[in-house]
Amino acid sequence: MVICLCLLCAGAAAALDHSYSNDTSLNADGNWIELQGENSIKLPMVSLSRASVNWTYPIASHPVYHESQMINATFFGSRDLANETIEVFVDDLAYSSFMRAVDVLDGPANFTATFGTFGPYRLNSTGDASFSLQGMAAGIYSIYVAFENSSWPLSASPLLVTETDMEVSTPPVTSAGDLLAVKVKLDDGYDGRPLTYGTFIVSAEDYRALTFNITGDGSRPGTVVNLRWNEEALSILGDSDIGWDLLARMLMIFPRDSAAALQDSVDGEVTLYMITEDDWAPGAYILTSIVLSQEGVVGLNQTEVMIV
Amino acid sequence: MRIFSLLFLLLFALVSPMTAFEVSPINPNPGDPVTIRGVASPGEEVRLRSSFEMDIPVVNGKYEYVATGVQIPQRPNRLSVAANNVDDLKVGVRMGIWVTMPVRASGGVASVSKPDVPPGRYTLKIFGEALPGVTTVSVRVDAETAVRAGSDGSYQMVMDTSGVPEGKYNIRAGRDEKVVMIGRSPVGAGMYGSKLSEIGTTSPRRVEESPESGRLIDAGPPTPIPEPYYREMKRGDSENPDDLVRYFNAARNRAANLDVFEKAAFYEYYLSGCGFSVSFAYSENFDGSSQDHLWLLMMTKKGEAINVDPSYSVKGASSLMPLEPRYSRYDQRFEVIYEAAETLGVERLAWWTDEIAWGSTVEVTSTTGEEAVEVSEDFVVEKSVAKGGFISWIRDLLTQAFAKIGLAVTSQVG
Repeated sequence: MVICLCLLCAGAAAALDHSYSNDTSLNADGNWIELQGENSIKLPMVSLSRASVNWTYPIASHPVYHESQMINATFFGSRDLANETIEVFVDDLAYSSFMRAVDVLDGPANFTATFGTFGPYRLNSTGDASFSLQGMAAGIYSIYVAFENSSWPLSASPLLVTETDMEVSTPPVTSAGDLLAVKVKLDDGYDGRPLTYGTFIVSAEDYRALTFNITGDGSRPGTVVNLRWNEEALSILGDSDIGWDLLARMLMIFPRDSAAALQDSVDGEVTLYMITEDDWAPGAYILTSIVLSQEGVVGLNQTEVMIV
Repeated sequence: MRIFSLLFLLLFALVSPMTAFEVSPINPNPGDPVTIRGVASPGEEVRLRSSFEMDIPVVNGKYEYVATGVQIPQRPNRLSVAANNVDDLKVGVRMGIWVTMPVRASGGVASVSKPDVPPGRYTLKIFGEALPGVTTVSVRVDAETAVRAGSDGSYQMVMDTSGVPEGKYNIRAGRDEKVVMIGRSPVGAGMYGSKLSEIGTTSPRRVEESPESGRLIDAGPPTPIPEPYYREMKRGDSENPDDLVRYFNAARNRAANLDVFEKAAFYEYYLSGCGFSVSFAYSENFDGSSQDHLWLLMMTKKGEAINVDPSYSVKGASSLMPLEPRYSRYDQRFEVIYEAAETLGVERLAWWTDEIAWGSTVEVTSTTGEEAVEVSEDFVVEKSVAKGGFISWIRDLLTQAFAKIGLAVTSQVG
């Protein structure tokens, strides 16, 4: 679950086109898509370092939407795109296409507008434009921005739409060494289905310390995602399979002051218990909770608790 | 945890009713290896099973039982825990970090059964809320594993009883049942290797003359020291104690589930590989505690010996490099793992049987972050992921999450 989040973040972070460097808007590198929403997930620092491509994802958090919720976003283009016309495409998130769109992999992105084309939108004098997408069904999508009548993406961003909202409640302050009870309650939509609830806690300081640096030669086998978490590091090859070995390796770089809990349930509400230890560092901790079904992500939430 | 250990430790054969087996010795001292030998049909998979019960005191409506270093044997295996008089049951497994899996209770009874638990050494915590008014919670633990008989029909499994509390355990193979008595007196014996939490629970009291668990360490003969054993890794500044501390911290998570002796052996291997001159120091009666202890000595070029105790917190020492006088006395010194194993027994040092400690190829970096120190995966022999187990569960979650974006999730069949 946590890994899912990490990789989601990595995907989000990859959503920056390096190609334009003259933008003077929010980010000097330009050509990135910022989604706006209230339920946001904090992102680690993600960067791409290739021989001819370098970028660092400038957005600190990424919103998660629920079904039918309006999606508002802004494309911040480079200044040399001023007054150009763009279109927005929504497709399933496919690893290869997405990574090509953000220059992690070489080759055409080959995306299609499976879930619609929006626009055209005229960029302003600084190359920016805001747009809105109608609410979508739950799923994991990719938003592509391209020139009108073009299939070459200027930028891309992942988009996660969950089935419903969920409420996560926990004592705002917990003593290190105590059990931390996390109550997760879905707003609706569980209908007695078997769902898997998971939650993960890590200190805010450690959360900020997580970095992803992507390197490679443009091919999938030649791509390496380097995770660094404090003094720990782990390299994942681009063609790695997601299995126990990788999971075990990732668990080993998790900060010591972190814990997870899992529970299956057919109810729309469960309480998960996190084991904390006496020597956890006091301070703010990030609590990330997710609910999964066979079909996908039912709910995702991130909140903060204090450990004293 | 102990429970789990026991489960697995005590082996148990349940194959055909005709299966015969023997246990030797039947009254070992804690820490002694116990060997189970039996005869079945040539090539037959012999399923071994054990169970025990214990009462856990209830304090402030809660019960808790923690055991460290429980070793889960090879697959196939199954571990089951059932609790009575409980409102709920939670099982925590420390796999680098704590992962908790709550279990629902109905009618005061809660149980969890997991097949194909990944082999390795873990810390387990069993805890929850008791029913109102009860003073003890009864917990039953069942462990099952299997061993394949050789071409002559014989099979063997060795139990590591180090850290195992004294007590009586029933071992079953088919309709045949035997008893292993660990320690001289099964009554009132203390718990070994357990750590109880702040909620104030005390050691579980054994039901009917204190049946407790042993620890099943492996099937077949004692796990040998891998060959080649020592390896060169990223070199540290062998004269700099601070550098040793950094390397120690870098591998900390990897050693989280090891017991005291295994941890000492692990760091001897690891620090030696990183260029530090370290050896073992062994005390038969450490600090007058009637318990033996194993730690390390780091030698400087000036001939100075610096104590390094990877288990310093367990021993109540002030730091990784303790200065307390009790560390100034040791009975034996072992320069290499082979010397230590000859005296202490390889089972007590066999950290390489822990999947997390050996891991897959894992990079451990120093705080400089400039280079990676690689721990080899050469000795990882168990990578299978069978259907229906905890890992399968996680894998399924990953499958759900990644399938739609084109990332493969594998299931390796062992």
